[in-house]
Formats: sequence, C-alpha cells, structure tokens
Amino acid sequence: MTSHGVQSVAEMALGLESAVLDLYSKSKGEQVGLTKDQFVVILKNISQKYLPATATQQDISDLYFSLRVEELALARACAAGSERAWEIFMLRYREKLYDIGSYIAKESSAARELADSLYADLYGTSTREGQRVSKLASYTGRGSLGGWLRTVMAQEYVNRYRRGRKYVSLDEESEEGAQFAAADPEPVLTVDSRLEAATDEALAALPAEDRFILASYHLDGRTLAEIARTLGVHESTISRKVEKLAKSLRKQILAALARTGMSRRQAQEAMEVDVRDLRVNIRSRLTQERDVAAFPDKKAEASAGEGSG
Amino acid sequence: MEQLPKLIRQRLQAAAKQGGRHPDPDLLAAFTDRALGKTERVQVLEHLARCGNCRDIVSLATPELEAGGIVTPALRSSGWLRGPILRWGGLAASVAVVTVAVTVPRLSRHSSPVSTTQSAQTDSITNAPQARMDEAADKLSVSAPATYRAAEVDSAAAQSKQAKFSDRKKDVSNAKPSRASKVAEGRSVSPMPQAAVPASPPLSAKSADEAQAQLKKEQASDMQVSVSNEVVAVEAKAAPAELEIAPGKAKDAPSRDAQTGLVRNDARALSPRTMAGAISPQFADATSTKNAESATRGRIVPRWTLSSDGTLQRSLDSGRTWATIPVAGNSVFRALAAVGADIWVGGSGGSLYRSMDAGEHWLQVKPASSGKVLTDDIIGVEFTDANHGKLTTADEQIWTTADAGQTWQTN
Repeated sequence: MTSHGVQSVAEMALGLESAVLDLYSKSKGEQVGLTKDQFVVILKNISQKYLPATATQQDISDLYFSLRVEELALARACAAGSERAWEIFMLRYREKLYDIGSYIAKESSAARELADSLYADLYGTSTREGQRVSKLASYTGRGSLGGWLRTVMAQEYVNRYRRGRKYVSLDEESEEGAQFAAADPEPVLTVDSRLEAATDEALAALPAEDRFILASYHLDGRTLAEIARTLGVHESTISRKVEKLAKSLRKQILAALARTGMSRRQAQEAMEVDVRDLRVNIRSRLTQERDVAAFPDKKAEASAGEGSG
Repeated sequence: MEQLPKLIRQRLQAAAKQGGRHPDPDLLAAFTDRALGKTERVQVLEHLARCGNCRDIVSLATPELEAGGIVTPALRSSGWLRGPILRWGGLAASVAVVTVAVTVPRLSRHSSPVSTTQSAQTDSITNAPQARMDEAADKLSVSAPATYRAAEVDSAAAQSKQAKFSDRKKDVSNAKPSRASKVAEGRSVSPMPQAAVPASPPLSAKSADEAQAQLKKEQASDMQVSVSNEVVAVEAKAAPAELEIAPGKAKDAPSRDAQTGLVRNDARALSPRTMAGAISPQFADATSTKNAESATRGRIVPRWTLSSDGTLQRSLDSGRTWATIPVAGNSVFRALAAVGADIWVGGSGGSLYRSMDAGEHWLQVKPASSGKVLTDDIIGVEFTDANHGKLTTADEQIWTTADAGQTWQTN
C-alpha cells in the first residue's frame, strides 16, 4: 500500500506503541539491562529487515507478536555486554552448544571445535571499529534462540567442513546482497531442447515444497525420515509424495512432448536418452555439490541404477 | 521407489543456478521451528529447492528428537492407533476381550451372566491359579469388568458406570485363566462377533470416579472396538496366560498398589491409555515382571519433548509424529521430566505442572518454601523417581522435593 504518507506512518507508530510496551514487559528486557528505547530500536530494525517499506501497521504488529521477544532481549542484552544476560545465556545454552555440536559434527573433536568457535563468535572476538561485535546481535527472534544457534552452527559446519572452500558467512553474503550461484564448470549435456523445456516446465509447475522434497531425496540422497523431520510430517507422507511426484512428472513431460508433435515412443526414448552420459554428468554434479566422502559414489550409483517402479 | 528420470534430476540440479539470495539464519531457524507464515515459508522452500547448501544447513539444524522415554507395554505403533479415539478404542477393546475371556466360559455354562461368588469360590478350590486370583481380587477390590449380553452393546458403557464392585468381583472370581486364554486364542480363528464385545471399565487401582471418567471416553469410542481386532487377539492371549505363570506376583501387587495409589512401574505407567494397564494391575504387574519378554514385544515408547516455543509435545510412534499436549494457560515450558507416566513440566514464571497419567490430566504445583514462592522461570526439572525431584530456576535457585511435590526445600 503505497498510499501511506508521513502522517499515517506517525499514526502507525503511535498505535504500535502500546503493543511495543506490552512486548517489552513480556521480553523481561529490564531484568537483563535492556532499556525500552533499545528494545524499540531493535524491533524497528527487525521490521525494516523483514517487511517492505509499504507494510501496514497490521503487518508490523503481526511480525512483532510473532517474535520470541524474551529470547530476543536476552540475545541482544548479551551482545550489549550485560553480565546478567550472559549468566542466563550460559546457564541455558552452554551445555546445549556442545550437544548441538556433537549432533551436527557427529565426531567429538570437530564438535568441540565447532561449539568453541561459535561460542567465540557469540561472545564477539572480531572487532568492528574497535568494538567487540557479538554474533548474537544479529539474532532477530524469528525462530527460537536454540534453533538459531543450531542453524548458525550448521551453517558454520557446512561452510567449513563440507564445502571446503573459503568461508563466507551467509550474513556477509546477504549484507552485500550477493547473488548465490553454484559454480558449474561442467559441460552441459546436450539433450533435445524440447525435452529440456518440457522438463523445466513440469518442474516449475510444482509447489516449492515438492521441489524441495525431490531435491533432498534425489540430489542430496537424504532419507525419507530426514526429509519428514525437516518438514514436520510423517515419513509415509514423504514416501508417497516421492513416488507420486516421479510418476506425475514423467507423465507430464510425456504429455508436453506429445504436444510438440513427438510420438509417444519418441518421447519415451527421449526421456531415457543418453542415460549413461547423463548419469556420469549427474554424479559429477552431485559430488561437486557436496563432499565426496560424505556421500560416496555408490549412493548416486544406487539411485541411478534403481529399476523404475 | 519410483525412479526419477535422469533428465529431471539434471534439470532440478540446473535450477540451482538461479538460486538467489540465501535466507539468513533467523529465517532458516524459524523455518525449522515451523514458525514462518505461509508466504515466507514458501519463499524459503523455494530457495531450499534450489540450494543444496541451505538444504544441508536446514537438515543439520532440525533438532533431533529429544526423548524423555516412557516404556509402556504392548501397544503397536501402527498408524491407526494414533488418534485419541482410536487409542481409547483399543483400550476398550482390550478390556472387552478380557471380559469375554472371563465370561464366555461361564456364559456357556450358565444362562445368566451373573453367578454367585460362593459357587465360584467352591469351583476354585481345586483350581490354584483361580484361587489366587480370587485373593488378589479380594485384596484389591478393584473392578473387574461387568458383563453384558450382545444385545446390550449400545448401552454397555452407560451401564458399566452403574456396575458395582461386587458384581465385577464375582466375574473375576469366576474366571478360569486356562480356559480364558483358550477362548482368547480361539478368537482369532472363530472370533465372537465384534459387536457383541461390550466396553467395560478398565481395571485399575484408580478411584471409581476416575474409572467413570474413562468410561465416558470409552463410550465415545465404542464404535472403534471392531477395528482393534488385531491387537485385541494378541493381548488377550498374553495376559491370562501370564496370570497363571505368576500368581504370587499377582497376589502381591494389589496391596502394594492400593497403599500408594501411585503408579508403581513402567508397565502400569500408562494405565489409562494402554492395554495392560486396562486389563488389571495384577495382569500388568505380572506382565512386566514375570514375562517382560512378551511385554517388550510390540511396545511403544511415548516420547516427550518441548517445542522451541515452549509447548509440550508427545509422540506415540517413536518420534515420527508429535502432538501438542495442552497443559494449562500460556506457560512457556523449558524443562520436562518423565518418570513412567509421571510427567513434570516447568517453565516461565515458576509454572510447574504434573501429570500422573501421561499427559491426560494436569495439576499445577506451586512450590513454596518457608514463605518463599517460586516465581522465577524454571529451566531444569529432574525427577529420579516419583517422589524425588529437583528444579533449577533461571536465577540459579535449586528447589527439591522428596514427596512428589507436596513440600519443597530451596537453597
């Protein structure tokens, strides 16, 4: 809604004030030495980060009320150096950090290293203009603090151990507004352009969640249980979906090819064409995407070699 | 599993080139917490579908299921047992089978479902297991199922509310375990019409009031009885046979349980919602102690966890699906402890709740010690048994109890 003038923005702020007060008392910011003014600034920054400039008061208030204000206040008070906040943080999360580390790294020395390094980041070792900057200052309360810590550590782990390439924090990347692009030195396999277009079309028509499932299962080699856990649904739901998606994609592509004037037989052949080359190609793409050791070739082999159901 | 044509995988992979900006850790965390609105969730999924890196992160960051495990006997974790109605249906069915097992032999001898205790006791003199069972029933004065004719099924639950303990006792004392088990075994071959199986009150050391409350639920699930055939047959086979094996145990169990009224062991822990619990304390105890092997078969382990937003969740299928268990008010819970069916959760503002029936009913516990009331956030709850527990608060107070939360001591 671009009709919001300066006037209505001011009114908006006024209307939000009571909500903010309410949230401040809920956040218990006072107990950890976070003033109301600081809290207001934090909220404002968060709404600027996640909402378009045209967001309505309702949008802002909805966002505010969806935040984990208590954890937000704690994290930001820690970042600001409040001792009381650190005490609470340590009590609640110190042990957890190591637990998360061993869950993610699965190996004790790597786990410890991971946790210690995150802990250092949280405490703030890097300096910006001579000031200690804690990673906790970037926590916005969108998800739980525990979940955020897990995510940050997972990110660190993926960057450090899996990609084996220069560590660039996603924060930095998004701060710079960098566009993510997977390096792709592989020569692109030439297939019938009609087939490629039909495939792209069929994939694009799928909901994001379905494409996520396909990619997780077929590209990452994740188990049905892992995917189900991530999406918070039952394993059998994912199993059915994977099955159904493969069938319906095949069907749709064949139908699209038929529309271009291909015979059914031709279309079917086109889909299975260059299987051997393609498999090599996919495997190289897969291994490029992730550490070879973590997902050995046999995985790609196995999934590529499976008979159709 | 259906094989995906290679080309589709290639195109999926190719889509990664147009990945776009990575969501920040906050958004990814909110995604794994399932705290995002629909639009943002789709945006994140859209990115994840293209970005293997972020898929890795999200997968690693999805919390492993934290489990406060409770071992409960003999429920299969099959899909249809998941809904509450179905669970109660299973319970009703198990009780019903015991009822049938107990009464069918007698029904074939007498035309009336109710016979006298005297005659039963006379019968029982020559039958050792049965005599022991009589003793057990007498000591415990628990309710064994009342019996109903097939035609009475519709009103069975309602009637069972009115059933008197004495009637039920007679029924139990008439039971001949050996025959009962035979009948139960026969069920899978030539089953009684399921409609003829009445729902009956669960046998437990609980008060009559509680039993009635359960009955109301069972009434609602009467229709489900027939669905539960499979489990019913299994249960019925095991329980009476074990009673024969372990009569001494059955004798001891009731007095112990009757004294405390508390949940004593894991096997009995979930009595309101599990089969063995529903059959009777003796049965359950015998099952757990003397024949742990058979009890282990097909066990489900309810797991407990706290969601990141502080709600209590329970899984009855080894963590595949989680259901939020409503406790009370708006408390945000940070810690939980599970000892058998005894669940304690603590959280914001000193809120502490206890359930003694695996989450069905909750009581608020307000720890206070010499005029001091616990109002700080509880961040740790530990219970080593039903009585001994320790709370840790955000401001590092330690509160302990040695009497299941009746009184508290603090540092």
